Amino acid sequence: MTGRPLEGCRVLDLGILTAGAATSALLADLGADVIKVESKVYRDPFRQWPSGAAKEEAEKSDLPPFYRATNRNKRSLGLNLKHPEGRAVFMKLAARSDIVVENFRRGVMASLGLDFPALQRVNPAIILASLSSQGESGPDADRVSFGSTLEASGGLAWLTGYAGGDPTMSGIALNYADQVVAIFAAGMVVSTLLDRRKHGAGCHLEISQRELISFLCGESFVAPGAESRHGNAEAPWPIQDCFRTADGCWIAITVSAERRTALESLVGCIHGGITGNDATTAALRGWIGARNADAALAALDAAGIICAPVLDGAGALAQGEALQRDAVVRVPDGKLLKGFPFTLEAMAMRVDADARALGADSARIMSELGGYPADEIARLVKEGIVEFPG
Amino acid sequence: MSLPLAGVKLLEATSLDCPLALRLAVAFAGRVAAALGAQVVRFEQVSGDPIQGCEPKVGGQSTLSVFLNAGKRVIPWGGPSERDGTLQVELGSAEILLLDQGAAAMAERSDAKVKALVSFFGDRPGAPRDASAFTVLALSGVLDTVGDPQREPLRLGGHQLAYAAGLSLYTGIAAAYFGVTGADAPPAARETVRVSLFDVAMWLNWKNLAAAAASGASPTRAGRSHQWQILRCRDGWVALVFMEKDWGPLQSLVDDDRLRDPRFATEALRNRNARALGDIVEEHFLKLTRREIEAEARTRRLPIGAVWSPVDLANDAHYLARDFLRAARTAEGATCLQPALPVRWHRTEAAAPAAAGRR
Repeated sequence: MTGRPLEGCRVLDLGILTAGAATSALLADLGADVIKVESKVYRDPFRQWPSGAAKEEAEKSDLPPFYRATNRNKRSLGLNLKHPEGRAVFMKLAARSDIVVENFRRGVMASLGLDFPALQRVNPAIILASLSSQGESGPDADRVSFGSTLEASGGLAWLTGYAGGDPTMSGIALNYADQVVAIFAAGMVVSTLLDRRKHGAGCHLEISQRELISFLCGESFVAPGAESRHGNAEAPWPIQDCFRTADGCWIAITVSAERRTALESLVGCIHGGITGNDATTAALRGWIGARNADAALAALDAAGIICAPVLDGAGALAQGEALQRDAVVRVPDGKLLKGFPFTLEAMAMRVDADARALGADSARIMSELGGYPADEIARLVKEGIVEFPG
Repeated sequence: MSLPLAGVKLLEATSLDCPLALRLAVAFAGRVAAALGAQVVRFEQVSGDPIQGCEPKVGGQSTLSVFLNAGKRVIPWGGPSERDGTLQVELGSAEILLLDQGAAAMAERSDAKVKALVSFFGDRPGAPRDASAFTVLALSGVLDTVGDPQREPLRLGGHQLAYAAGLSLYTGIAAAYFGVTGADAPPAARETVRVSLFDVAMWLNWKNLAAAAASGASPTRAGRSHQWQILRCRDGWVALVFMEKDWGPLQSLVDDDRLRDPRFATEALRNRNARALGDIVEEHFLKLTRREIEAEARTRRLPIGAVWSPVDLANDAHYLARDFLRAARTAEGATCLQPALPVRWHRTEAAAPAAAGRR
């Protein structure tokens, strides 16, 4: 079996930035034909989101690194949904598609006339996947937020932080909430396809990112009351933290109850017992602080202590391509694209195509999928409803 | 509509010496499947199961176990054995297996349509011989991104990497099951899903890695030296999050002439002077409650959000209106809350599996 699970499925992708675009990217990795719909008046901000020294490159192209990383394997259609004829084209394509993915602000799909009832009129089997901050209902449904906001409002920031310190959220470099929702939403879309196979009907799938963040802290809600911040400590480990070496590196260490005696022997600490974590930790801190990272890691590893250097992004990438075989993908020009969070053995996911310039596939999609004749496509282009590159 | 996995039988089990993070990933994936209607059978160690052993507890059961095992049929178990008839029967009838890599031999005794295996690094050459979720976060660059630049890197609260791996396991098995049960798939079609916590962590960290690959420089943890920061207010904390277009509305909310100072004139300058900016905003926030700040932010369409605790959220009007946290009972009959799976179809939610009634 060489086909991928979603081959034969078509997705109209209105998702932008991370949450929406990465959901569709996973569906594309699984074999779906994903058509990303943008226009000059509604462009994925990642097309103009340079990162670091790539700024100059980004200014010359609408394919900067962040955009390429998460929009590979998709085709690009330039279509102005603010124009009635643009919306008519979208509906024609929706009639021949399986899934629409969107992460607009709530109310935008309805104001465009593209909400679920409208989509269902042209395609009763359509699945609309809506990713939003707060969900479609409830008093806060119209609140705006970014992923980091939702770490605060969903309970994760309350549980994250140094012992006795303030709550903490992940920064813009990680933006955790936007990453996990893509994995979850792709899973829910596939689950809905399973259901549609049984019943034939489409449905509106609604995902609240804030609720997902809370669900990812689910045990904290079982009997809420005593939750607080513990730094890097984590049950059931007697000791877990980062320790600074003499040469200024950080080492992450997890000590199990079974290896505690070995650690205490290594760092010259008299056995502290269950209540002696502080003394052992202090001895460990002193021992590591007197050694360079390489020496400390080698000795800890030899003593059977779970340890690793804390690497930054460049360090993580430098570990060798064998170790990161599926997590990141390099394309022929050496650029790095997002890989896969899971792998399938028989129906293997793969990156077939780089991200496309805005409208690069407009002609073919309008002709083959929309059934528009060449002169009609030319008129729509002339009137700015359909867009080609440039 | 019926639940998508109604009628699908899934078995989850882990090796006796399976590390905690891998157990959590397997259990989380099973929890999602159970909420979507799958019949989930969990083989659980008779004694010494770390998920059961973790504090805190409610009614004698760990909160981790109450959350992760909701909706599952739990079978006490002494470990894999050729002579274990119960295991063999369940292995024979399950369509999907969720296992850790250490229990891979169990997969060979089954003809399940989909077999999923979770590990720290897969079979990668050069991988460390031992790991925890914490050390995997360190190697992937994720740990480096959270916390104060002057202090040690910080893990996110709870069990985020294990649960993100659980999400990946679930999405992997759903896709594989969809593929092998399609009309065009041969009856003998089978699929193996593999998830490594390292790959998941690297995947989560893609922005940082893409920036490092493009520029050679890695963004690191910024703490309060980035314009997005958590600030104190009268009754707690608020996350100050905003984009370029939000600067005007934020100035209007805070209404302090010092924010018109040239050192805050551009996004780059605001980041360079983030702590001073945060101090001015915090001075204003300290006069207001979280609710008042959220109301002001809402009026101006600012993406600012209060920091809420689990206790706060159990009484949150939005969560109550959406019936997100539901009253339930533990296996021993103690009252508890269970979050619903955060997905709705046609505004009809997947059932919270252990819900004994709604508040």
